[in-house]
Amino acid sequence: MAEPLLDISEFRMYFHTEKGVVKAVDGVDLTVHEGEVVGLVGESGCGKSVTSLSVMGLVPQPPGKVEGGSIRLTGKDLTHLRQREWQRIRGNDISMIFQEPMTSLNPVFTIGDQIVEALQKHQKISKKEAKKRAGEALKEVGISRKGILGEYPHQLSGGMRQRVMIAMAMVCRPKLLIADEPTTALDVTIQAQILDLMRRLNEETGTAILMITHDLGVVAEMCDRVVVMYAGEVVEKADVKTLFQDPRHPYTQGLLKSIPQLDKRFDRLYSIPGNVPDPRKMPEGCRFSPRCEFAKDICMTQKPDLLDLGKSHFSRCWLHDEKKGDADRDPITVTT
Amino acid sequence: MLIPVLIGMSVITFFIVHAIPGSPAKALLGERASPEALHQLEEKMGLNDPLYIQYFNYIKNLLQGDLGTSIQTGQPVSEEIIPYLAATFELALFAMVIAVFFGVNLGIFSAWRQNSSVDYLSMVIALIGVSMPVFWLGLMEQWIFAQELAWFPSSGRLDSRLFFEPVTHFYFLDALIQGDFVVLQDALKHMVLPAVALGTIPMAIIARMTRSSMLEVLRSDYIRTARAKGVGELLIIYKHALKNALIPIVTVFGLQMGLLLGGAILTETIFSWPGVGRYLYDAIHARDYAVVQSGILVVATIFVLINLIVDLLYAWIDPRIQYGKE
Repeated sequence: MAEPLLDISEFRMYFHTEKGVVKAVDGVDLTVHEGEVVGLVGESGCGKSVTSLSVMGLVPQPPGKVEGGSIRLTGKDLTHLRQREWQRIRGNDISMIFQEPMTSLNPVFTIGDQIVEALQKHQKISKKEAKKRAGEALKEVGISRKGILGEYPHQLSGGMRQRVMIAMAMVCRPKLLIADEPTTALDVTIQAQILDLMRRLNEETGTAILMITHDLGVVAEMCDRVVVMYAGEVVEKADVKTLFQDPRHPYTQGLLKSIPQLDKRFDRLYSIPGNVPDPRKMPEGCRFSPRCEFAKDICMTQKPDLLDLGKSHFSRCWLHDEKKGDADRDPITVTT
Repeated sequence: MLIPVLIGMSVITFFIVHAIPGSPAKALLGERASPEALHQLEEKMGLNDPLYIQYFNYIKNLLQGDLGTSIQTGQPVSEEIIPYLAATFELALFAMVIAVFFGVNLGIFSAWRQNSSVDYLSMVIALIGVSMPVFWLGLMEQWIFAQELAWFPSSGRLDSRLFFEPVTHFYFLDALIQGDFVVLQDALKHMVLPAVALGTIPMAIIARMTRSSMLEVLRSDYIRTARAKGVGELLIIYKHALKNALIPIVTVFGLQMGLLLGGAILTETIFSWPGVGRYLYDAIHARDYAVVQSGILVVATIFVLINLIVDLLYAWIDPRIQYGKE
């Protein structure tokens, strides 16, 4: 396969706080190829947002510190860039949209000003030309209302603001768009529209998307491949079909089981027992072991590697290891 | 809001001024004046009428643009006060320019490098600035920069040897209109020390206000968005963040400017600055009712007007604030 667009390998981002070291991202491997939509899934606090912010160089350092690994964009390592170099990449090669459209736009500048600023930062074009392009970018995301360029964010609804954010992120035609839970704060009907829009832009412009979400429904709808994170680590990676049909890691299985299904009646929705571990006191061995119903002795003491299960399917679990694990109890088949 | 405030102001100043013991006639004629002469003068000045009649006469004249006549000089207050007002306004303006420039930048720098040594140093400077009494700072300035180093003159608005015919009484404006750069330079030299003394406290207050306001804004989502667009740090701070942080800063600015206009008496006394503060101070001593009443009313009007301008600025700064639309 060709060189990936984004290649995160063994990346570690720790936060040094007064109460101790928080290993927010602890050895993450992740690739995004050109034009691909990759989902990054996990519970709150699993490190998915820190991973995405690290790709943008937006993690405040200190308290954050890169403790190892690399993030490569078309082969170039981003982890030790200077501010100037970052400013050339942000908004131009990589863009990002955020969870809170209500607060992500600057309230005191017009929509037009904010998009024009992104354009003029990266391209040498006249203000008039930039305004024209801003108008086109807004049309692309489905806002063709007259005078929109002169309006302020507070005059728009949440869905509209997220469209503006997308227009602003896409206006320089980035190679990669990072979407950090872009639909979490929106109504369900608007969510679907925004997801459609992103999928369409991905197909039309070829911009790859790294989709950060905790919503497996979004993943199923949008993504080509999925990476599941738990407690700062990648626990399973697969293409979207494989992951939904044949999840191998007990955590992924738990996530899938906890989605309500329309065609089945439940008295009580499944939830994974226990809580996410305290990031300052990570369990030894497998980090999921305290909550895992299949956990064995080895899980408590030794950390499993990300095992290749073939067909670019990876899972971090002792149960797949025939020598050390117990093959009989490999939870390959999920019974729901 | 403007009119009720001013009516209230006129009532309060009128009655407070008349409650001050002593009579203007006595102040004018001296301690040893005969009772007949005193009585005659009081009658002539209308001081023996009941207070409410005096008040209504005062308001009646006021509405016709007549601020009364100074008892000491016999000049109409509306004319007499202008040079003093201009002197104070000029001084206050320069003090505020210094206060805003240093205050805002100090605050921004502290917020940007929060909890660094620069932050602590700036806030110590601000604390010292707030706590330093104006008269002490003024005297120290005079001692160091006027006496010892002789960089600046210690008092007055202009060298008395310079021949100068003021038109607007704003010396900088006048000097520019007349193209007189010798006067301009001299006026500037005279301005430095009092402006610094007067601007220090507002500077410190603005610095602290800017810091806390900026700290809040710099943490917001739209600043992260601006960074994600690739906007440079300087633009993020001075464009994206500052405009959002401006409202509390402008509020403080308005209040401080109002205070400086009315309350620069200490600075004006130390630097022999012929401003409205000293004008009123002298008038109070002479029981010059007309000057005190009208002077306070003029200062109050300016104070209210400045705050009105500040309110209008809010709407210009933040498009979410609109007036008159329900």
